[in-house]
Amino acid sequence: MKKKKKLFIAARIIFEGYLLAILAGALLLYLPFSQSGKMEVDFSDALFMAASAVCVAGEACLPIYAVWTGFGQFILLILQEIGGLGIISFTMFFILIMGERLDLRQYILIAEAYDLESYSHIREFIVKILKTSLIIQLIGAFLYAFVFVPEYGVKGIWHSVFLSSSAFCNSGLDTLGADGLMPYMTNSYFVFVTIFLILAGGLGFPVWAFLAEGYNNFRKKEKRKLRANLTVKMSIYTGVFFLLIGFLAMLLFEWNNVETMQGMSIGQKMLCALFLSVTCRTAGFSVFPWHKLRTTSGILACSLMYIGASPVGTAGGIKTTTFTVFAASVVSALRGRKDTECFHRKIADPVVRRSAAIVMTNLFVIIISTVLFCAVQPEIPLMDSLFAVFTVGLTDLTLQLLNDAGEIILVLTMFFGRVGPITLSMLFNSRKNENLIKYPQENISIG
Amino acid sequence: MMIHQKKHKRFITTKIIAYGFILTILVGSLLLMLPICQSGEMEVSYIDALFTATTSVCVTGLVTLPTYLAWSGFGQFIILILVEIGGLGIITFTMLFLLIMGKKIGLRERMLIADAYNIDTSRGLVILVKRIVLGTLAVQGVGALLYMIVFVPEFGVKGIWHSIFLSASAFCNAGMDTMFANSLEPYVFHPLINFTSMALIILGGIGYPVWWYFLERLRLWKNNNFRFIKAKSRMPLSVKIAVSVSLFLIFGGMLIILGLEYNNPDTLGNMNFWQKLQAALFQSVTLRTAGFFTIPQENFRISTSIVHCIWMFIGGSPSGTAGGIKTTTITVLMLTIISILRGRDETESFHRSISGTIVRKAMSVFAVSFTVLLVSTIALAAVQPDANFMDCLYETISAISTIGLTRAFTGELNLLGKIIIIVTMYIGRIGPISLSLFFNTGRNENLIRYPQENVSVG
Repeated sequence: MKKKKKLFIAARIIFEGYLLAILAGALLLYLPFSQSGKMEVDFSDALFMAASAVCVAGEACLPIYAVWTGFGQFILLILQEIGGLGIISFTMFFILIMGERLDLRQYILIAEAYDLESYSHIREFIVKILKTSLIIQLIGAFLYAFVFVPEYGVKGIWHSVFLSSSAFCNSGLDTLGADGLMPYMTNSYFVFVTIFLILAGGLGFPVWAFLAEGYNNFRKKEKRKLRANLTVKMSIYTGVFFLLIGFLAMLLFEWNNVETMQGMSIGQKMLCALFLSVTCRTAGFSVFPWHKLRTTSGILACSLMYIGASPVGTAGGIKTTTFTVFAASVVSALRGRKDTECFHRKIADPVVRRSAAIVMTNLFVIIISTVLFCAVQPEIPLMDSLFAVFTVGLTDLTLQLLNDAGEIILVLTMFFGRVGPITLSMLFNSRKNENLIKYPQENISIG
Repeated sequence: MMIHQKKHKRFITTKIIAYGFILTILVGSLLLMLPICQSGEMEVSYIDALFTATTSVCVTGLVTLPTYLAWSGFGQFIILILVEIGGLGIITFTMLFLLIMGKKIGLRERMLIADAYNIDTSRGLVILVKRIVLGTLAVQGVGALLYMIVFVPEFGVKGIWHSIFLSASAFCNAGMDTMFANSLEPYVFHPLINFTSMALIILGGIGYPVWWYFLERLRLWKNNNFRFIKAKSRMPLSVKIAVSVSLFLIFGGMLIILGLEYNNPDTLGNMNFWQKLQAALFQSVTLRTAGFFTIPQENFRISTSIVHCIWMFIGGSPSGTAGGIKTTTITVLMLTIISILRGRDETESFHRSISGTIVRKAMSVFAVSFTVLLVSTIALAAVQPDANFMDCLYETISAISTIGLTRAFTGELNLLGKIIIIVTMYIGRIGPISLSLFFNTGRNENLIRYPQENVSVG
């Protein structure tokens, strides 16, 4: 009973926090001060941009470089940091800065948000997360500066900072020109810096902690064998698996596509395929205009976006662990096993049920949004609609035809994706404890 | 030991179903290659014969060659037989064959029947098979007679054949016809054709358990045995779900189609209200995996087409002639999600709880079907690079759920595309569970159990 109440409070803070961030962001972006005045901006556009940044979806309905001033772009940067690092760590950050001491309630929130088992080292944990994030992003910005400063001068520094944050938070927005990152795809240095940032953000804090521990052991020359827990194992194995699948499939599907890779050298093709695979870990930078990809690559990109990266990181999607647990439960059931097993470990039933709920609910929500989106935007072809709904990106045609109703559907879908079905459900069944009634069991024929 | 035996038994049934279908398809395709089966007006390659045999046995109804043009009367008869085998199922058909030959039905065969129909007892199984066959014939006969009222005046003597074929095709949810290349489009406003077809499709797809229940109830009611009505007529959960979800899908689908297509001039736009209602209802019913159409599928809007895809993927009810993941499966899934999100420990439905095994089975059916769908769609899009995504998806869903609706794409399939669709139809017909058991060696592996560990999810 008590645990449920705690969960309810955590859920409310997550829900209201994101909602507040989006609304405040939209208002700030709507200020004349934020806009360059070169293009007219509706409130729905501002709302869409704010939601896109907070939900790290990275879909820009207006070209950022042309529409927003430096201040507007700064707001977007803050919003995507909120989205990437999570609302809770952000509130905690403020509390820490203002020198207030954390009370127990806040400890619990953090522990819920990051799936920590004990409350003892939370303060250090948060500081560590924020510090690491900041350091990685600074390194990224520094590395980007070698590309952008010669090209843009002083403005190049801002581009570097924004892009570094955007790549690390897996948001996929950029302040560059109309073609985004596409002109830089021949620059392998640039591509690898971006890949590094996206993967670093998507790896998730459990994997960071694991790697840090490994590094410490190595430095202190301890012989103690490092044991990865199941979350870390799944994050790494499944992440690498999908990275490889994405890379090979993109290479195969686009190899002789006249619109994309035809005419590139083999090395160039491999670089593009790798970047495509990485960007589908929910970053969403485009290598080629999305509509030029083949249908096969399109379906693959949507599937990878749906799965996303590792838990407790900056990326979106249902997360690799959720997918692995669900897949393991299906495989175990098909093999006639009683428990769900993975890496020679049993996975507890509540975890399996939760992962199933996430997989299914997200799938249903996405299907429903696609139907609604297609219904209000009948001229947009299906593949372009799917790109929009799966937050792969907005194609030229979508940008041209996108109306207010379509924008609102996308905003709601992004918001749902960010908050997640479990958090939402906690909001609605807060107080009642209903497991007191149990019904008799009855058989049923399936399939 | 019990578990082991049960698994072994299930394994044999699955093998018989899986190999039986392959054998029937191969024999059917070879028969269709005979010159006597072909009308000679079109050249028939082996892959087309194989495609036709598969589509018939899997009661799908996607055709690469128009049935009325490519096949002779005898060829159409072969197709009809294949459709009946597919509709009744391999096991039932084998039992029927044994009965006709006067062979004794032994314990082994009885166990197979019980397994195929998900029945726990071994009593009355031969009667069950007889009843299913007789009931099927009776319903198809009535359907054929109703069709004849329209087709005999129109086609003369040939109308009788058209009626029989169409009735069998509708009841088995195959969706093929011997009259035109454009299915039932000429009869879009014809109430008798529309409602006869809908009745046959629904009766075939609702499944035998629902039939038994209502027949039993009718019998009790006729005998005025009121004391028993209360005691014995409690609806089994499967029947409750099959009936209520089918009704919901049929009428919900009709309303959605009506709403989305109301002013689309290519589909419902130019009809009067009652015609719209009838056409939308027919479209919704044909998604119960039949595959006839009165409106060209490619004219529907994309939003409507996605709804069609969802409805097709769900399909009909278990133990009937329909395909798809089945109404009961999707219901168990939905209820499971709701119960998890509501924080309940068990999946519940109509004040009954559903066991974890069944929930896991439902998830497996869904996940395997979805994976097969995804893989075959990507494969189809890869071998047909010029194809539109919606057309590809429609085609593969149609194949996996054995529907037979197409956005005018089946005719454009190339050799590899045809092979992909054939394999998808086959997997769709034998079902994901059969597929998995097919690869399972039947070893009992539950002797090893692993320690538990926590994972962070979502």
